[in-house]
Amino acid sequence: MKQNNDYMEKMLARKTPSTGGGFSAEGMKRAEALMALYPVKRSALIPMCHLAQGEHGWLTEECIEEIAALVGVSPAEVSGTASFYDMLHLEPVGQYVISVCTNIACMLAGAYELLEAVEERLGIASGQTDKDMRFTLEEAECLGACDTAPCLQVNSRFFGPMNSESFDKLITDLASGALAGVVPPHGVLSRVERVFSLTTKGATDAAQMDTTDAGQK
Amino acid sequence: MTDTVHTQNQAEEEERDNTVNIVIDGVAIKANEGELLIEAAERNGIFIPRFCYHPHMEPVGMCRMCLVEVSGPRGFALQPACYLKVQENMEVMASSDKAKRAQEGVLELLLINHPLDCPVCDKGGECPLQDQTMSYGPGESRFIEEKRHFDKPIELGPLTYLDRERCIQCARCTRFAAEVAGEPQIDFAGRGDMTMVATSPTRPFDSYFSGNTVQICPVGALTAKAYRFKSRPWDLEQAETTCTLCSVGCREVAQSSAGELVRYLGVDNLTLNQSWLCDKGRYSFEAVKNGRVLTPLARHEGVLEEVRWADALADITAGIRAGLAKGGGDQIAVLGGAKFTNEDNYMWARLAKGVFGSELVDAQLGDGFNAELALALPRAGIEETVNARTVVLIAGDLKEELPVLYLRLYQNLAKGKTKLIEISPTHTSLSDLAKIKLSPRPGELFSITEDIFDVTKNSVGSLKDESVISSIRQFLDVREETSADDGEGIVFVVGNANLAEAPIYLEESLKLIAAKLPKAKFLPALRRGNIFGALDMGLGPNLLPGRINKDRGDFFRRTWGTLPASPGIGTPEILAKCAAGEVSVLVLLGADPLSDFVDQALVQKAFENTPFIISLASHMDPSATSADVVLPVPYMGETAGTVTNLEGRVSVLGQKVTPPALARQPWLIAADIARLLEEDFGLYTLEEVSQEIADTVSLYRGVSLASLKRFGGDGVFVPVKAAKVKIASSTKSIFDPIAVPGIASVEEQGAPIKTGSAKPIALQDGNTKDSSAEALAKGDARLISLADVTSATRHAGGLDVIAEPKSDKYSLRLILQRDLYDAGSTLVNCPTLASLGGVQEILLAPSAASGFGLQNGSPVNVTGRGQMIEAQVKIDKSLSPGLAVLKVNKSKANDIFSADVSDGIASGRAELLVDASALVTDIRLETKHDKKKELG
Repeated sequence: MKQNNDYMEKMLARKTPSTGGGFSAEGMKRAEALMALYPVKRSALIPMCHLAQGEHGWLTEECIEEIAALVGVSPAEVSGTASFYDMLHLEPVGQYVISVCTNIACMLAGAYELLEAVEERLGIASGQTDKDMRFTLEEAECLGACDTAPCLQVNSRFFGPMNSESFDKLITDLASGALAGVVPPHGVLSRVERVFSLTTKGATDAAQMDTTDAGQK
Repeated sequence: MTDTVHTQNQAEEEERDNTVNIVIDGVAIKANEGELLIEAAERNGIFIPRFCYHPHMEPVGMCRMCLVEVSGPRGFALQPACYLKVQENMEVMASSDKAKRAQEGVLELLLINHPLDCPVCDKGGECPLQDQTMSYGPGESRFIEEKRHFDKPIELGPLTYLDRERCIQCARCTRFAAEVAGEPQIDFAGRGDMTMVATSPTRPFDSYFSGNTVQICPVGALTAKAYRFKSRPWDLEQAETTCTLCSVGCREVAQSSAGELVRYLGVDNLTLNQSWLCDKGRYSFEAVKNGRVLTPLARHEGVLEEVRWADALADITAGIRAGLAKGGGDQIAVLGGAKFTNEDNYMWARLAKGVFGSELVDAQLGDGFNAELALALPRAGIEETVNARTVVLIAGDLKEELPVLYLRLYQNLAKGKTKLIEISPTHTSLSDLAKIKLSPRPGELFSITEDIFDVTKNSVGSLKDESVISSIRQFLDVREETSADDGEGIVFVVGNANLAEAPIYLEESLKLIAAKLPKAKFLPALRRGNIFGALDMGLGPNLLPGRINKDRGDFFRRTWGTLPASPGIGTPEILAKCAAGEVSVLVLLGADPLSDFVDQALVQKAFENTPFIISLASHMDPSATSADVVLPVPYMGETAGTVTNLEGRVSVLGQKVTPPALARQPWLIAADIARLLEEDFGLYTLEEVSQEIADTVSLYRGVSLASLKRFGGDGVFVPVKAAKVKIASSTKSIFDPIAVPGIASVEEQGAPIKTGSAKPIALQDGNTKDSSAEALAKGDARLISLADVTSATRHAGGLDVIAEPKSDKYSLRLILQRDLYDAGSTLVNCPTLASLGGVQEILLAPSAASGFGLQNGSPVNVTGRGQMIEAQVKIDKSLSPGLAVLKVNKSKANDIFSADVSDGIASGRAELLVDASALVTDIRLETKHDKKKELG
């Protein structure tokens, strides 16, 4: 699955979310291949949204139109469906989307104090993106990392337990690029890719994908 | 005939065959098999509260308001009545304590997220949520927390506002958009208490049918821009009427407040519009107030001045007398009538043909096809069409021309109940649902029809893929030997799909099809309002009232005294005569050829060379502005009478508001002119005119204003079939009071609704022994048949395909079509609709566009006949190279509705490029950057 890796690497090498545009030529190819896996076209809607978010960091208007055409629904149905899910973004996001868990385990461990510290450090409130499009902050429900409460998520990577000091360090590391190999660009999910390889080439490729998935290194 | 007409026996038989016995609240009820519980209960007078249920949409079980206790294997359980189908021996408790508690609970929960701002809400007073809270609510709420807040209102589309906090998520609007209109432009977004109806970020809710979502919204969440804060429901007065903006003739109620028309609502009927309207019809009430002709006007020294009626009529009489003296009836031409009622048209036909003796009479404006043929083809009803085995569309885009017909057809096609074959030059809104789609280029239609239907013809010259032709043949069962039953269950929807192409191709094709498939039926898609009423009343070439040919006009020769001698000609030829200076007087019956006729050069010349032009106009349109005498007439909502739709359904117009003080009914004007010409008709009231039609026009025998008002319901089909067939007193079904909101529902709610059991009543009062149909079969006033149709002499034998334009690569063949929203007088005079007119776009094939280096939105000049217009490029993947599509009556970019529309010469108008006497039209493209080079 050479092509897979190339594409993944290209997505992982992307520095910042784009401001707009549709699928790249390669992305479109993958979208069409993804479509072929679903006997009912509509079923591909969410995976397609992930694919689009992988390319741009968020769901651009152009991508919504393209997905609608591919999946055979209206653009309103695509954006309506996507709006149901917190992890699909319909507005431009920063390079790093920081989701602070405030669910019960984290809350008891000081999540709201952490959130306050993060807001102060970034100078933005929950739900906002800073001016230079570096950080987007959001409050999240349980991230499933209660053992490291209070935890937060940067793009799709977990960090915790966190406090204001460790968060300061995290921000410095993110800014300096020290975490470049750990934190993928926002939106790049290997899950979509894995499903893709499983059904096309069989389990061996899937295993390969797992080991070569940059996010897991 | 459609299912509005039953014999009693039939109805009884149906009842016996498939009924199930159920018990609701201890009352034994017979329900139809497969029927929803909520419908069965309602038919028997038991109202179960509901919000999301709608009789014309699939059930969804979304709001849970209709919970009732239903017996099952484990005893009684709460189930939604709108989602449950009746079953034999089903026991239901609709008003048990448990059911009531459930309904109260649902309402309390619904009201938690509802602002209760009824005093400032448009819906207050006619709101199903308000009403049902009163009847089925708990009476108080335990919710003391803060309610949700949203910015309000948001603009969902150009005609619709949304107040999100009022929404109860019943999904009526989103289901309507997806299921009924086939345009899912709106859908739910978000989740939980933040769920809202939303469009995609880039596309507004600009469906032609958006107003229906406002009508069916059971709360005040969706409101119409045109009606918002205009009135309170308890101030409304209403009259049932028919929309006359297109020939579908949707039934609607006109509602007024303080003497001003403020709203139209669709009336629920099973066989016509099923409560739906298009936005153009729905919001056209605004035109009543704007741009009206208020007094008679006459031109003195080049300027139109206000005059008294007596002076205007004296001018007209003098002009007509002079014309008659000069050269008889052939000096006087009468165009139009499609905006008028049958009574108006009958009187004008009598005046024009019986008094003037003129055969220069045509209600069509050259945009349809041969009127005799349209009337002679075996007619299908809308219900018959949408339920046909196969529908063959040989017409333009129905959504643009006859929107509600599209709506009815779309639903059955999408459900697979009907199959569609489309033979239309462009991609229409139904193309995606077509089993077979064939796109004839201009001039190819007849050859293709021959390929399909003329089995004996050697198909070497076949233009299209042989396999497509043979699969169409298979679909339609076209065989070499014709049997009398061929074509059973097939309906052809036929109209002129290209206004820049001579209709002869269509006409000859139709004759061939009718001969080959004797049982096939036709729904002629002539578009203009009451065009079928006008033609039925004789306002067409070679026609006399009652769909009869002039050759069979002995009766009218006797009663009217005279009939024209010359053969009749259509509008293009009439205007050519005018242009040649051969006509002294041109009468425009609500017609606006300066806006609506496709050959602008011809019509302008006709206006210049006709010495005396009389315009009966409701609005100051370009033609009225250029006329010599303008007479004010009432507009939709201000007029009473009857109209006939494209099925041949005659229905009553209800007058809701008073016309401008000096406006007069067109029939009255005809009577006045006749009197002044000393040919008094002796008809002084609308009822007398109507009675004369019912007495003398055999097709309309017994169908008078009085009988229709008593028995007509949503209209009757002419001719009325044999006397023993009864017509149900009303086909209107108030299945669902909230399907038709407004005062009607308030009045009728609570009353047991028994649509199925309405006692049939004979339409005629029993004074005619023969039924109209029987009388027509023997009388001399026999209905026009295909054999009677005057054969066109024009272009005889010239129906071979015309070679493509070859002068250079910039030459294209033109397809000229119509958009629902154009710069016509309706849009110009309706403030809410006015911005929707759009600019002139030229549709090009992708390869053609890229060949010229053009992209979507590129400005180009289009030339033809020495004229040049501006257009904006739009790339259309379905179009083949060498073709271009333009729309009639459009403005150029940045110029919408500016002054130059009103003088009839806007530079976006494709009509400047068309020659009405040519078979096809070729144009030339000039891209802006090489304009100098091309011109030089």
